[in-house]
Amino acid sequence: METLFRPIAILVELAILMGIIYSLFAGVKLAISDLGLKEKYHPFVKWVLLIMGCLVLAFFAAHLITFYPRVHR
Amino acid sequence: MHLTFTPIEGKSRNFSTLEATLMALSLVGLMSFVISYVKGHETLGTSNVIPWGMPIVITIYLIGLSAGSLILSSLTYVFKKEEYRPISRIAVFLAIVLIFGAMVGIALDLGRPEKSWRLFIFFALNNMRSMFAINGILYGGYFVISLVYLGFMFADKPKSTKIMAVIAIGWAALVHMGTGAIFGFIAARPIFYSPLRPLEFLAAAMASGLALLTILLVLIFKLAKRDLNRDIILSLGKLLLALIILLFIFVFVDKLTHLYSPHREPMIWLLTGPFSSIFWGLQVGCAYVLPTILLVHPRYNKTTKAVIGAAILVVIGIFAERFVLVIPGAAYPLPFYPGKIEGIWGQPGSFPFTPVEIFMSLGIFALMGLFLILGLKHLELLPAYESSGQKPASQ
Repeated sequence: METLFRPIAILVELAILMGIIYSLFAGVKLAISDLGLKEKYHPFVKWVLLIMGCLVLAFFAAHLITFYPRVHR
Repeated sequence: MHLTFTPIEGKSRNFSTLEATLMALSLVGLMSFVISYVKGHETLGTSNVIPWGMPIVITIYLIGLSAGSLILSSLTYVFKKEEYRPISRIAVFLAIVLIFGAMVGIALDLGRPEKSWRLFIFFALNNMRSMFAINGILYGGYFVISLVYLGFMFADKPKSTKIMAVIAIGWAALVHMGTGAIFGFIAARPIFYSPLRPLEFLAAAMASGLALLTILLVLIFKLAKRDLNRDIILSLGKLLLALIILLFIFVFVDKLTHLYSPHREPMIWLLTGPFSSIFWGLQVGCAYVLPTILLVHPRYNKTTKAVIGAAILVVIGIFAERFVLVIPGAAYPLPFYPGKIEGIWGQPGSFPFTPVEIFMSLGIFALMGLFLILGLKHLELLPAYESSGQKPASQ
């Protein structure tokens, strides 16, 4: 049971963290638009944020696999 | 010269294949990072004797490429070399992509990238007399300056671009000299230690940055089916020759000084020991001798193929130069007992190449390649045409 609980908990935490990162990146995109970046550059910004998101996801996955507490009875 | 810059179409099958390949390799690199994080740095072939492995070799190499590329972009805006205007945007963009790759390399080497924010808490968490802390300012500033510089280029603001170009050229020189100083100021490591190191790094940065830019220009313009003035490649070849000679002088003087008695053992070990084949074959052969022959020989020096060949050799050779500095420099035992070769384990360290490290390194290059082709697809980096209408480089 404990061995099953840990990966599920990691996945839930990963989903929460990625939700936060998505919100942050959406804010960055809006801020860039507000600063006057032309519409034609938006696809590139989207790609950059998507790749950065993948990097962050890999880091969070590695970090949680390593440091997420183990349940001991 | 009036130029219109446009993105490439990027709808061909070859482009999609390249994009998918780079994405797959980047994912493999990310997976390797996850393994290295979970299992520890031993998966990267590093040890207590050689704590700096391929991520650091790649990082200092990429910083050099980036600084060189940025310095060359300023040929148009600072030195008024209008003939280089077609390559100015791609040079700045390439510099940004390369410095990003270098920062990823540093983050991967840290082992705990989540602590990288501490590098930027200047004066509070950092010892500001350390070259690492000073370089934190240089790298951070460099990234921002390059972005602003490219932004002004896209906004078509020549006055602001010129000002940024002057700042960028100075900052880029400082960035790579600062990186050289990290090694050059470590008095405890005889192979690293040298007052010439910052200047050697700057010359290597400019030579490798120029060489990579030349290769990519020819490749990108050919694949994008756009004409590139052949004279640009030939003049870049002449500049490359001058930089190779300058670099060779720095390296020669540095090695000669280290060969002078009484502390000559580390240099003799480097030139004749287990890493000597990389030094003589790849560094000396590929970075200095062969490209010089190609660029000087009267039969070849008027052809773009020779310039491209020399550029490929220089890119390989300077990567080997970085490797030969970092790995043997750390492998050679610290001089705890003057007169004897004894380190913390009693003998020079060995450095095995591990699959995780190789895939992670490939992943860094693939990630940069992905950014580059996405930039080419979505940003106006390449000139649509050249008004002078001279011979294309492929001829």
